Amino acid sequence: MGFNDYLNSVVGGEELVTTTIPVIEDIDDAISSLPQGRLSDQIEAQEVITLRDLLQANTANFKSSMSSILGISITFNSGDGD
Amino acid sequence: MITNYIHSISTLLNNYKGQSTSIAPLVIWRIGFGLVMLISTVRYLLMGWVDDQLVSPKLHFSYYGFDWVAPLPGMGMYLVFSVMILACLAIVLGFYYRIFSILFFLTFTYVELIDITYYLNHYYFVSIVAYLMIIVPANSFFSIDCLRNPSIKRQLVPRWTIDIFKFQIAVVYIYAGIAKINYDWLFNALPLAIWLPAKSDIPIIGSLFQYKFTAYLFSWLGMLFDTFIVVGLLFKSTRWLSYTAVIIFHTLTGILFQIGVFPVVMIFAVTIFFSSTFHERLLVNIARFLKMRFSLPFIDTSTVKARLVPNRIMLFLLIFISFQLLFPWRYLVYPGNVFWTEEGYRFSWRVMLMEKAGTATFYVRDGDSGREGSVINHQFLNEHQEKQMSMQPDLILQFAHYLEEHYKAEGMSNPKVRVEAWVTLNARPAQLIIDPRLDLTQIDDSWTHKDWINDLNYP
Repeated sequence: MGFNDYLNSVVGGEELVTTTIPVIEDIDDAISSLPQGRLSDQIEAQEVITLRDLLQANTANFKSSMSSILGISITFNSGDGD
Repeated sequence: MITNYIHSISTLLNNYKGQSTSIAPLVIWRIGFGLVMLISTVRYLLMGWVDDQLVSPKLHFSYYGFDWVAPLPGMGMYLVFSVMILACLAIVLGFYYRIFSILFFLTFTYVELIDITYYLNHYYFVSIVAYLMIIVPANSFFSIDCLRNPSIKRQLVPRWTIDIFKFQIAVVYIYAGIAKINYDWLFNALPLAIWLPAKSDIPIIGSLFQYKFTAYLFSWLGMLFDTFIVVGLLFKSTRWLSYTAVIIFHTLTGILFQIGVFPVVMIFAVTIFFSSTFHERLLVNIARFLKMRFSLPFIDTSTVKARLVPNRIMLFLLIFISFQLLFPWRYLVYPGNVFWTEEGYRFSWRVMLMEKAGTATFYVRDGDSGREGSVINHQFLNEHQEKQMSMQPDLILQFAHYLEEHYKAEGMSNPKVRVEAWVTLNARPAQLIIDPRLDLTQIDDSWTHKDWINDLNYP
């Protein structure tokens, strides 16, 4: 079973896949349309800012939504109760 | 009719005021509570949490109305924990019991109030019990205080001194049970349908967790257990069976979830439901183990009438009990989903009830120049604080106000703070919990409804 299948198999997985895939495609497009040359010179170019915004918008899909539906408990110390 | 009713209640109450019972359960409760708290406090220290949770963080999220509570500088917090450990020992031994039970309540509650992101229902439970411990004569038998001052020694105590703890435990379980009577929990088996499959690598029982049926079974059994376990504990014929269920339930949840000492606390706490005879025998065995001279029988409790409970105690009990019964229902006066808004969520025995997570990006705009930049949360917060803050609207607001103050101190005369917080609740698609255009510096927290929280899109 691939990761995509696994993600699709858990509660809420399909919806997450449906919302995330187009965003990743947009990110791909944004990367291909980056201007030529060194990124450090282009840091204020509109294409770079667009890419940054897209990556930022996608953060929640991975950071909170995916870890949440996969039941990955990200704890930073072992926790004390409840 | 009504006067008859009031008359029979007052007869019942007057009757109750005169009743007394063996002190043995209270003594075992004192020793057990002291020991469990001792273990818990030492564990907290050894885990390094004094530094991680209390001393190191740059800022703390406060309880509403308690923003004046701050950690002590330098080694101060270690001093507080030393006092707490001494207090636990003194409670176990019944040594200057009243003073040390006050000290334990104060130090424990102080530490608890420093940072709300570490809120746990069982810390609240411990604070309540610690407070009640101050007012019960748990040192009047089998204690160093009795050796120091034999005149305090007694084998009988008013019934309320034991019943009040049973009441509190009943509140914890029954309210936790009632909180599980909701659509997500019972009819979608959420969040267990998320949590259990993720634990399917646990030996022996793990393979069962991949089935949806198991999540439904556990959801319903969990609800029934919490709601009715106290009834089972109250009656002699079902008590051992119920206690076995308590041990199985808390051991299982202890294995499945990261809930630290909570299972131990509850497995100990419910022993107070056992009979006086059980606790008397236990005391005799403890005494024998310690090679102390000690003898039964206790006084035949049925024949001795105790002094009437004073009215001021009755009044305290009335207020305490009413508060405990009513406060968890306050969520009903707020519109919206309590899991989403968390208005009235805390202090209501909602235990392991939802899977919620968020990602919050804050933007600070210089009101004068119009320039805006995003905030890197971990420059201000530790990972735990960030995780908790990102999904709780009142904490998002607190952090926004902190940022406002921070950037003012940095020289920005008119900072505006907004947040893009994507939150997912019980596997629902993530949505913005607050309108990202709102300037949070213009909003203040209060007991009134937070109308700046977006409605949940997928109820």
